[in-house]
Amino acid sequence: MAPAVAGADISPDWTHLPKDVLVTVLSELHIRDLIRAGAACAPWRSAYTAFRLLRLPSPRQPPCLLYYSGDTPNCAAALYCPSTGANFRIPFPQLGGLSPIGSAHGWLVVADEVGNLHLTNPLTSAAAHHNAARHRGRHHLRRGRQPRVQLPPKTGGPHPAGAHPGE
Amino acid sequence: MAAPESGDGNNGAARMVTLISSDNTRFEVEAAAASLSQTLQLTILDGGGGGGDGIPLPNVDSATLSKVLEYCIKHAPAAANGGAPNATAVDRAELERFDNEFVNIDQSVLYSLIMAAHNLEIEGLQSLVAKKVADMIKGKSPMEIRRTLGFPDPTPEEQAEMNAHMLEYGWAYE
Repeated sequence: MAPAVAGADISPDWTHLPKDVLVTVLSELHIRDLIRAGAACAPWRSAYTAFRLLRLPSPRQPPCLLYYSGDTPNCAAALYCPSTGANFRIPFPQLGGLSPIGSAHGWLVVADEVGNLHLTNPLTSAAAHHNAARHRGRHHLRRGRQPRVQLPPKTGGPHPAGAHPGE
Repeated sequence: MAAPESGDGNNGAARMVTLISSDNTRFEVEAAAASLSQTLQLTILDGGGGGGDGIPLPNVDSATLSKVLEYCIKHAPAAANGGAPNATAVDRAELERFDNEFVNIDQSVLYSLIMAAHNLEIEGLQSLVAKKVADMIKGKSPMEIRRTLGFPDPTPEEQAEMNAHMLEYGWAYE
């Protein structure tokens, strides 16, 4: 068996790894490195998006703690990553005056003074879902008429999925 | 070599299979080792790869295949124990030492390995190499990642996108 016949000298093209291989690489990164890697090139960005959508449980990406106090300068929230001990300052100007209601999969549900619900991802600052969240908030107010709302339980609850506006 | 279940009562003789690389090199390995590949496992269960036949692997060259088999042979006993729940700490430490050494190799070989692990569906090997690649890009900016892994120079659009990303995710670049 004589190795080294072919292959090893072909220069590798890491941009064209199959997407699920890239996803396994990304799943080995901590949150900050993950976000940076997602910006390396278009195929990596697409793998990054796929990975986020898959919500794979990864020992490298345990839940992080997001906290906020009036003392934090420049309207920043702090993100604490327990596995690395790293602290990040996340700009979060919207958070002032909002009450956190709950969180899941990196999303934060917050309520404003009149009880409108807002869905936001503090890491990606995804305000893209803002309209939908407002919509839900109004709907909720109409049904619930309460200034402070509670996150509905997963099933049933004050506004079951069937009653969602537009359905 | 020994035909499967040839029944000569020799417990020591493990069933062997032959794998043929893209450049026509024949590798004879224990079926248990080759079966770490989900792809090969089915063929082997069907009785393939024994005798003079051999299983052709048109996507894997001999240099890569010999490396892949080195991994499989080392990991086969633990895999046979169902992930080795009762492996001793010494065994586990030894495997870990082997793994660390194993991926301490050239980037082009890593690339061939992860592609082969993907094609042959060898989960452990794929995640081992993925871990190594992740280690290589840890703490680096997108541009440094590109340089480390030898991406082509960014186009002006790509450069603009990286700059925009850095502004948007400033906290991840501090």
